[in-house]
Amino acid sequence: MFATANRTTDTKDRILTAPERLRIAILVDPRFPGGTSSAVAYEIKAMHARADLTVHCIETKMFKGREINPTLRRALDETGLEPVWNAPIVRSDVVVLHNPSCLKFDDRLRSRIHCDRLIVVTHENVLRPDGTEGFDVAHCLRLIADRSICRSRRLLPVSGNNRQGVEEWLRRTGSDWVQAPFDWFNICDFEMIAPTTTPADRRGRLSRPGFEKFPSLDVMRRHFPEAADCCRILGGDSFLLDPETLPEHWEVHPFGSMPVGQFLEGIDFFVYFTHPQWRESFGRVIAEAICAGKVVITDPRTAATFGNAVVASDGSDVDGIIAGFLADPPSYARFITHAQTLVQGFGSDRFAATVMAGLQDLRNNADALL
Amino acid sequence: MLYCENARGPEGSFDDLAVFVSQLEAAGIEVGIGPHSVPSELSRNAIFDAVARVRLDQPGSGDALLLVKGHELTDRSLTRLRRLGAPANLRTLVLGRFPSFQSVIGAKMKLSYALGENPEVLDVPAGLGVGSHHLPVFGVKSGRGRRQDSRPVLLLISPDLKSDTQREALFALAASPLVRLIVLTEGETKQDLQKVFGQAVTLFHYGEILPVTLAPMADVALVFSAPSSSYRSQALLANLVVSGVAVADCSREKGHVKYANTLLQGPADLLATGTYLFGGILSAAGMIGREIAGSKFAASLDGGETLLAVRRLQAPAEALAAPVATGGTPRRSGRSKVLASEFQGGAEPVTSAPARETHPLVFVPTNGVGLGHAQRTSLIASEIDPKVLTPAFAAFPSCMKMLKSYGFDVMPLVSRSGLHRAEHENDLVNYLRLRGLTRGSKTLVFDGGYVFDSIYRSILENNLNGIWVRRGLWQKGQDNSIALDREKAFSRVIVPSEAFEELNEGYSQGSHIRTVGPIVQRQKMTTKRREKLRGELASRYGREFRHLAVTMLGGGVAADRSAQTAAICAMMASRRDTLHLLVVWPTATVEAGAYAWPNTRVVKTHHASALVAAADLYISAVGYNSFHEVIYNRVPTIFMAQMAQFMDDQQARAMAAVNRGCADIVAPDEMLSLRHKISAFLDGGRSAEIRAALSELTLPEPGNAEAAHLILELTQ
Repeated sequence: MFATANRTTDTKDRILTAPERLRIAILVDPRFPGGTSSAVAYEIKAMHARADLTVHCIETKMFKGREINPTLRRALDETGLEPVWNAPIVRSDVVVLHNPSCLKFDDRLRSRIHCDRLIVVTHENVLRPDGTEGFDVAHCLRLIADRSICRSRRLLPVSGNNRQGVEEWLRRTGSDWVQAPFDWFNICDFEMIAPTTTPADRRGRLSRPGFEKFPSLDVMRRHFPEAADCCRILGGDSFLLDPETLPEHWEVHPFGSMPVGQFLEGIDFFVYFTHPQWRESFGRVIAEAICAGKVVITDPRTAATFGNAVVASDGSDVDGIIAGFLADPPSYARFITHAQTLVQGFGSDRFAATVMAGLQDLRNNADALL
Repeated sequence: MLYCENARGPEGSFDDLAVFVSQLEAAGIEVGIGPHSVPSELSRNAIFDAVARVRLDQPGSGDALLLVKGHELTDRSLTRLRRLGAPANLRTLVLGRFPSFQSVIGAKMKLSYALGENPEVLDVPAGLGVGSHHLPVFGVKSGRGRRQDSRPVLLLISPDLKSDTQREALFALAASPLVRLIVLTEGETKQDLQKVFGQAVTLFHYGEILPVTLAPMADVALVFSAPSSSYRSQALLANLVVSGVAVADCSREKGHVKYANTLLQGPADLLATGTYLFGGILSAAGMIGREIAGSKFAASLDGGETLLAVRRLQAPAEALAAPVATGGTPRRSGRSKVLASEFQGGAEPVTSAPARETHPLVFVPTNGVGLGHAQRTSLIASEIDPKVLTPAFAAFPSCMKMLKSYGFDVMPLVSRSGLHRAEHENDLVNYLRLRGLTRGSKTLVFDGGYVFDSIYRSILENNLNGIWVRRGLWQKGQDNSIALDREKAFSRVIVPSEAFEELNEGYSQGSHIRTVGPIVQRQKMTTKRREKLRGELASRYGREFRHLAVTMLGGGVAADRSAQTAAICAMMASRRDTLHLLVVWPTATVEAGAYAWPNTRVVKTHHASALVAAADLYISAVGYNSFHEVIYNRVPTIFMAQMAQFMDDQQARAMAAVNRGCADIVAPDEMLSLRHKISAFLDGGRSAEIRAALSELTLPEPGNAEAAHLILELTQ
């Protein structure tokens, strides 16, 4: 059982006599409903064995009244870590604050941060595809800066896409925040399931139900046409609100109404396009679909994170792509097998190696903010 | 075209939206209420507010979306907006409470996912006094409203009338010869006050009249209510201020002066209002109003950046170059095309409406099967020299042919039908038509008993001289309170008098009430002309006759007279010396059997007067027009009154003539008596007696020309 922030000793002493096991404190609002919580959950499991880990939970206005994310709850239970809620001060060698967008409705960060290195993982894209801000980034970062004392402070992107947005934002605003040279990518330790040898035109997609997760109705109708053998949508809550617009051949399920694995069993092609005004910062769900043995078709920018593990499309040729695989079933299996190999590059071992090395570099190149 | 939607859709306040859109319209912005913001249930007043503004179609290319209360977006409302099926380039402006950059970003993002484009998002400045902070409050200066007389109009806004003392004070003010009083209050209070004051006090309730219509009616406004978050109240105050009305804060806490110290302070007690007003405020009202209109507070009600953004949204390129005209003369909204597209989902673009003819003077008679109101108005209109002014008519289909035969242009109105779900549905269409027809008119002349919403609203909203031609002799026990309540919309009430003095009764008072002589169509029926006409009838019907009898019992919705008609035809069947003409309006339905009776001929005509004047016996209902034609043209008549609840008191009218020996009367169920009377008239010399008695009468001068003069006086 790990204790609270009072257990830690003075930060300066720790810097002078650095321990062998790095002390890392994760700081997160654990009520994020989607990818952020899932990523942190895997991260806890991966880093628990490799570092002296504590988990600090903060309550922000963004998720007022919501419960802790069940995936994150399970990760804490599995590791035996007891989260510290709303600690007045979070002290550690490294403090990793996940997804600063959670502070967008707050006037202050409830916990103060005393550490050697402060990592702020930008799970949420700071810029939208059209270049406008995705949230009040300066406000959120200011709240963090106002409440933190540290030697170095870094923004850590989760993907190449995410990194480009942060870079552009930093350039545009002249902010004194600095972006680290490595990515804090999502750990994707999903169970690998062999692809089917007899694929059919069974299409589907899953996501949170937010409007940003879906393209326009017209595009959705094209991507999930009546001619397909099956069109399944998990998380299509907003379509269920407006049943008159719902094509009869769509099988729409509310978000969280069935296990992801069970949903994915019913499809062979994961057709995933978001609203053009929004983009996934990482696309965890894509990795999950690949691991479940599905061909993923998505837009080129989202596809970039996964390289050749997915089929990049502008959305106009989805039927043709699927028809191509169906005409050559062995190519379907080959594609997925290769994709699953690539996704293994997002495993926990790789993550630990990358992150530990990166944190060490940061220690050596601290800004001496203290 | 702007589509204004409430972010909460139909769950949002429709009243706020309707008032806001009416304010924008008055400021010269072409805007309609989008299809997603209309609740399934609306009050009657709100339905009329809505019908002229709701756009049922989807926005098209070049249209724009104005979303209000954008901070109240929900998933459901986003779903509705996603359904808009808007073109990809639908420009959108969102107004609401967005105090932080994050709230602006949030609204932009959510809406871009629903609409496809990033909207412009504006934080609405706080409202007046209480910071309602949802919709932009701005004032619109309208042209001065029509008045019933030269007295300044005093508007009391929500006076406290709970105590008898305050009510008495209100009554005293209403009786003042120095001001004309209007009270704006809640709906229930209005009903209570109507029971107490009848028509002595002019009352409006808030939902009855839009701020943009009410404000121009006032010269002095005393505000007794505390600052309210109601957008309707705030818009009214803003309109009053920019329109140059002398506004005084008479609330107990003087809360209005705290945010607008340019306003006067007045007493909260109505007992002191008279002293306050007549001690100088009233005489200086014009100067005070100008001071208020020129104040910084008034300038702050110009809509500021918000209204500029709305104008940019309407026409981005032009708006940048055009000066802001808030507070200036309102421009017509150009919605006349709605007339043609009212049930086509607003498919026609209203901006390209061609220039159309305006009619300075429009007559609106209300008639179903009978044509009394139409006939009366046509007689008045015929007195107007077409070289001076050509009146136009709006009339129900039953009257159109007759009015056209007089040479008038007629716009059709829609009659009530059992196929309408609600009884006022036809009037919604008529409202749109009348509103469009009278845009730019000066005077609307209405002849009828019940002032329909379409008429009432067209007069007020188009700032017309409303003239009500209102014949009297209402039945005892009739509830005419709604009709009389709407007298406030009229600048003048012309009362065509009855020929016999005991039948004349006043229903309201004031200098706007003008009584004229009976409106009647007189026939110059010389003996020679009479014989000529009878000869023509004999020739036309191929039979000679000694007696000419005419029956015209009316009917339609008022009463079924088919049994009486059949009985009369049967009586006439044995009279080979008589030609019996059964005369009906061309739109009336005649029982097929009527055509088979010997000696009877069915005549469908709009011009019955000549036939009646040539008759030896006339069996008639006792409507105003028929009665006065009988009296003035000296026609021997047996009356058979119609007694429907909503009609005038025909029995009393008939008895006034019967008591003078100038006519006989039978009840509808006294057919045996009728047989004796017919025989007495045609065989016993009764017709000659009646004609002689009629010749002895001294009758008032007909009022046709005077009525026309009173109408022209306001129109020219």
